[in-house]
Amino acid sequence: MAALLTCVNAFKQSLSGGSFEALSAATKDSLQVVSTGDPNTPAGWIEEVWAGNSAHKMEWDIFSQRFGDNQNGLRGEFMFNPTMSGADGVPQLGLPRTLDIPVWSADTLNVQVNGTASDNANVGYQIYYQNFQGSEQRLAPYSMVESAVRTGIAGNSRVLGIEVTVTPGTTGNYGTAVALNANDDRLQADFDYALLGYTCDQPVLCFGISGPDTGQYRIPMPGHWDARHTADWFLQSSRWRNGPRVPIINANNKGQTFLDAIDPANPGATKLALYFAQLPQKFQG
Amino acid sequence: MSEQQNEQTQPVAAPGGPQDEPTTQQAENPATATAPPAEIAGEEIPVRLVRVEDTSRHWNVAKGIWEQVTHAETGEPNYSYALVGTVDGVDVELASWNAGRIDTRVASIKRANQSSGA
Repeated sequence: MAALLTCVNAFKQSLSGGSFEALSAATKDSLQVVSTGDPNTPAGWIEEVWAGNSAHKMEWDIFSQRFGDNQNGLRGEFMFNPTMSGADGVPQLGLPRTLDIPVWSADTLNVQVNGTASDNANVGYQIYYQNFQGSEQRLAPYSMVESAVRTGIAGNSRVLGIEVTVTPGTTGNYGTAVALNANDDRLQADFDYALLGYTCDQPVLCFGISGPDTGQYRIPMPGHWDARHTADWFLQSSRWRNGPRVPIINANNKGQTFLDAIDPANPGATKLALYFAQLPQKFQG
Repeated sequence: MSEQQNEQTQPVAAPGGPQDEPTTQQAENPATATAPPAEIAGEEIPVRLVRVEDTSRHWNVAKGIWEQVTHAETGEPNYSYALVGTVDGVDVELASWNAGRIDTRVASIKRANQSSGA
């Protein structure tokens, strides 16, 4: 069995407002934790939570009988910042950096928000499953990737930024998926590339990358306005947890590796630069 | 006297730390800023909110051309709302906001008004 890094996004367009109301899982996402058959060992851990609202501040919560409590569980606040040019504070990262909260086999999580009537709201979270049956995901640890970047390949440094233009859906759901090589086709055939992080030309709640190397599961990339959070997103995630969180993508899969995005407020086509380090030899993880 | 009693008897507005008396020089040339005026006088420059088309482009590998970035679902270009002031005959963009986010807020307010009016 192998590890799996993935996410769940939930959303509601046009809130009723004034009290907590449930969000629905986005297309092909599920709020149910995978069943491992072992109810007393954590099935995985929620490592990140992000939230966004189209027009106002709000509260969010994630809960279940086995996640916090069955009332509000993990409850957080979303700050709306209308003075920030081009961004309103979407996304905000709601969890402490190194605190991972266990989820349990087959448990169904509830995601709610308490916001203003008619607003659009999204909440999502990153889950890491340590032992996921059938996962073909290729994840490397920070130490291996750092060493490869420092060494370079045959006297050349091979860190690339590959641009993909990604548009979140207009109605709070995932938008149209775009192939990794749709706008910038520079990955060298047969080589493995470590995805270090990313930058984007405007804030977006969350991008996702999925393909053969991710086991077809979506790996989340919150589109924070501060590039310091995103440029080394996977490196830091791996370093903080001392575990494999750096996705490895083979160049031969570039046409089958897709990017998509989700946001509550239709920010439009967004340029996303993915930072890749070419690895000197095939990743055997 | 206990610490608690001390807190109770201290005047609320008094600063807690020690303060030096102003020197003669400071008194003659006070550096303390005067309070800002309630109204700011000067030349008035009107500002405009302009909906500006984003003409940035990207490479389309399949077509082999540079093309304007457009919304993947609607095919429309991106827009921004620019707050523009004309200074000395030149338009200066003082700030700009993503039009999608502004338009979504407009739609949200319209929906709220419609539902409260119904």
